Amino acid sequence: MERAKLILSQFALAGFLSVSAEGVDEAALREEAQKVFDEKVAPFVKKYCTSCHGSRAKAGINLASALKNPGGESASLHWKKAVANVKVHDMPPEDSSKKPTDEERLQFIKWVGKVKYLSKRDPGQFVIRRLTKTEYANTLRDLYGVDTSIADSLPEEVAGEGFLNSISSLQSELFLGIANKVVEQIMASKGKGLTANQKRLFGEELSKGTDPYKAARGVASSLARDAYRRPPTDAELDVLVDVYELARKNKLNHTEALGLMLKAVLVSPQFLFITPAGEPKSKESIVLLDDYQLASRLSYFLWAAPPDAALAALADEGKLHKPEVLRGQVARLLKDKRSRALFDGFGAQWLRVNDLDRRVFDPKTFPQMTTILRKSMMEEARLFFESILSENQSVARLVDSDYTFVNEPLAKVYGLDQSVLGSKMRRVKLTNPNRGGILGMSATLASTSFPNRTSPVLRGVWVLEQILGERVPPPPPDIPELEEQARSEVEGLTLRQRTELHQSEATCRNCHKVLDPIGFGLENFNAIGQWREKNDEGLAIDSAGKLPNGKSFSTPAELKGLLAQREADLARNLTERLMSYALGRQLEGYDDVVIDQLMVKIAKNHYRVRDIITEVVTSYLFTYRRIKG
Amino acid sequence: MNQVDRRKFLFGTAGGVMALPWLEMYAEDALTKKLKEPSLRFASFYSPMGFVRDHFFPEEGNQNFLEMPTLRPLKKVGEKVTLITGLSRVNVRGVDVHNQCSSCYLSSANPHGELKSPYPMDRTLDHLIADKVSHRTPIRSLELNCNTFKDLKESIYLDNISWYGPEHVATTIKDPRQVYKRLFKTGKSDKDITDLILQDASNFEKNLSSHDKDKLDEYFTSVREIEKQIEKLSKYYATHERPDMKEPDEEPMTRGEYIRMMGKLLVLAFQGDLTHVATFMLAPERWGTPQRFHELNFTKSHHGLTHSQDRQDVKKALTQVDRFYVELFAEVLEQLDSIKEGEGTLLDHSMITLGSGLGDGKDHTMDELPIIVAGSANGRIKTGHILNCPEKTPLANLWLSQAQLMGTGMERFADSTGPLKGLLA
Repeated sequence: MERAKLILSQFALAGFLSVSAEGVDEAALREEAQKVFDEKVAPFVKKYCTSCHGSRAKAGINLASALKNPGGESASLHWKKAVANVKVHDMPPEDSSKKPTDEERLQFIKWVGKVKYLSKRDPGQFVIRRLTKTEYANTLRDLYGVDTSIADSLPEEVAGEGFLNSISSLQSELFLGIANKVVEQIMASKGKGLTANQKRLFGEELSKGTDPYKAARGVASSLARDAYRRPPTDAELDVLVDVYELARKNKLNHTEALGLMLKAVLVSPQFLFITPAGEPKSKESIVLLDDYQLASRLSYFLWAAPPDAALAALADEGKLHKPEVLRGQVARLLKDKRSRALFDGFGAQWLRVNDLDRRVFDPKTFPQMTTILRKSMMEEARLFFESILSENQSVARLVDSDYTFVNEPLAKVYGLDQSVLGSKMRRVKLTNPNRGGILGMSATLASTSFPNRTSPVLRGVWVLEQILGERVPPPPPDIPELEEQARSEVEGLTLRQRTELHQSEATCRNCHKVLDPIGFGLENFNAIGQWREKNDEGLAIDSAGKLPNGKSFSTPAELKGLLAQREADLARNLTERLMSYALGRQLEGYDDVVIDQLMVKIAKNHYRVRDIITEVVTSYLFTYRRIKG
Repeated sequence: MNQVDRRKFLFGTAGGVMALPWLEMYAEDALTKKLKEPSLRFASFYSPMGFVRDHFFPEEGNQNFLEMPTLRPLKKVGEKVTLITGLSRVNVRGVDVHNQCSSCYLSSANPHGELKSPYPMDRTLDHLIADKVSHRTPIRSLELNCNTFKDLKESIYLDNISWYGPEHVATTIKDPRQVYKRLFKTGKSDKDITDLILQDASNFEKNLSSHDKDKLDEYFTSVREIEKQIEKLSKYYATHERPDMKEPDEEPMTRGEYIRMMGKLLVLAFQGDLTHVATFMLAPERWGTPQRFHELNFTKSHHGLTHSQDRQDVKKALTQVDRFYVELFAEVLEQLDSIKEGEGTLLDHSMITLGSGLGDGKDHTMDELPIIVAGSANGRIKTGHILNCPEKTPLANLWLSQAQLMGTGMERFADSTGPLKGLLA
């Protein structure tokens, strides 16, 4: 009796999830967080912030609503922005009457760090979403053997919140047109017997005595299983058979009618959107993803492509959600060549090198920036990213490593010896400690420069935000760009001196004293990443500087070394970005608590990059979803 | 679905040949025996980051706006143009100004209400008008965009003035060849299939959250829209000649050639009554990358320079860009004016606006927005003069007047306080 009760209560606990799988007592943390919030955070905010950042939301920071519901979804972004500003002494402004002491600032940052425990345990909903242009093209390629260029006419996806779900009549028109093309390509060999592709999709030709409608239903079932990424319902099959019937009644032969059925599949929302098979009949408000959703989430994350036969089979068997199975699948998917999508879709955007091949460089200053060289630079970044991943190296190696990938044009940019010939990329060992890792790589250095010169500010922001995951407050809207500073003001000054003008103004100083030293630490690399001793003005480059933590460096190599030591920050940033990419949403509230738990596990084995991906995939956020509330 | 319905979908014979509204346009009214009024065309052109004010607005008392450096290109059609001063939008503080400029421009949505999106957005004027007039034409509306940037790092808000609603963008067409196809090619209808599919989808929709349902509804609506358009276009081309225009090729175009080509396509769309509603982005708001103007000696970032336009040399450079856009706008007006239609010209039967959502690129205010309206809307708008409105007159008042002129019957538009006084003849 007693034992039964105990087991029951454990179930109840697991159901209410007050103790996480890692044994962290979230209820106790929540209680403590509430206390800290009431006694510390709220008074600080009321004293220093709300007179400007009340409900009128100056600079997009609304602390009145965040005070009311500190653990709410929308509050976490406001807290993060607030912390970023308080941290660099950007807020409260210089001229305000009440200003916190340095000690108060530090305390506030620490306290706000606990606010996340006020958020309810929540993996987020599984919102249906449209396939992106890339995913759509890859899906057509994998399922129907067509070339991905078939989707080229679709508009590029644009940045913005929630737009991946949006669809307009222009897009729908193109989807319909592309569906026609796919079917045309598959049906192309009319009168010549079935092609292998047709056989695979539509089965053998009808033998005498077979009921064509029964055969059509069978084909519908397999087409829809692949295209909808889950078993179709009976009602869904009825509709596809209706389409077949419609075609037959209009004198189309069996194969042609199946072609029409395929067209119907391709314009179905079940194909264009990733949708659930049905709502679970659970009373819980939070449930595991069903294995079909999980298979899609996983394959679109790592491949930007639909689940393959092996993943689909595991989903059919109901085995995929088991952690050890998931781990195995992550390893398998990452070995497949389709995983280059993880660089194209994630890595390139994360490192901001995704538009390098289309960026404009001043042809007079950099005549060598040909299409071939830009492509080689992108390839270097990709091969390097993939090598870190496939060898499961630590995130620190991303920043500081002793090898890279080059071909002849790149070797010239790097001033490497003459032995690297031809356009083929190959791995080379580096002896120059200033190179190696993403900070000494021409793709990233060029992407963070202007067409004709370097930008220490852009590079500084890039390192802080993209690599270390810090939040840099945006500049005020009315500052002139460096180029536009009055000539009399800047005549005879070096870029460094001109940039340092930022630091003479109160509104600029606080952020720029953090950004600029990092950017200037990379000044030995020109706007396309070549090494130089002298700057554009012909003066010797001074790359020495100090990080906010007081540690100083005098060369890019030393800067890289210092940044590589911040493994925990590098890993957390990468984990958060990967998670956000995998879930297709921003992280907020409770997500922070989950990331904290992942970081403990990831730290145990030196923050290895493939481990990070495995932890993301097996995490609570990836595998569960909220269905109510 | 029963057999009768299916046959109807397949063969499209139900109802016989429909009367085509666009054929009636210049016919006599059966009752009054008077010539019917030509249908009005509506277009809204957007130019980013405002215009340099001193070169756009004449000083008080000076009516000769056609002598202003930026507006000189309008001279040939000057009699048919109105410069409006004093229009403003309320800037919602705390959110990005440039994103707001473009994405809120044509809805001028109430800035004080609950935000359904990062910026106060709503269904935009062009779509409210299309809701009312699109039955007249095969194509509901055209959203054209001359943004050539391939780097899509900037936000969607900067790149679009035309929205079906908050967060629901009306995707623009940027490729002239795509515009050409849209206007002059007739697609194949899949209505028989899509009808079955959409009907089925309503079954599985039952399992979805309301947010998810909305997303699917967007898709269904758009598919129905397309099917309707294909049907209308095929009927249209059964009785209409296609214009004598070659499909644009893939040869690279200069900035001017490109915008001119898009303008020409717009003129053809209006001339053929293919659509009566269009928006036209001359360039997106604040794009980080410098824009290449092959025709101009201008290599800097347009946005970057607007920040320091109090310097004379910067002002001069910027005015080049401003005038370049006004020139291309004027060319569209001249083409419209060269097309005779009934007793006037196509321009007389149009209402074409050029404006920006930013009053001043330096101080980022949304006061004194630069707005030009061309075409008299069938003689209803007084043209060839400056309409000076009192300071801070809501931009929504102009939008309300335009919505009314286009026959929407609206009495309010966003934060309007009434139709724009002095606009009408």
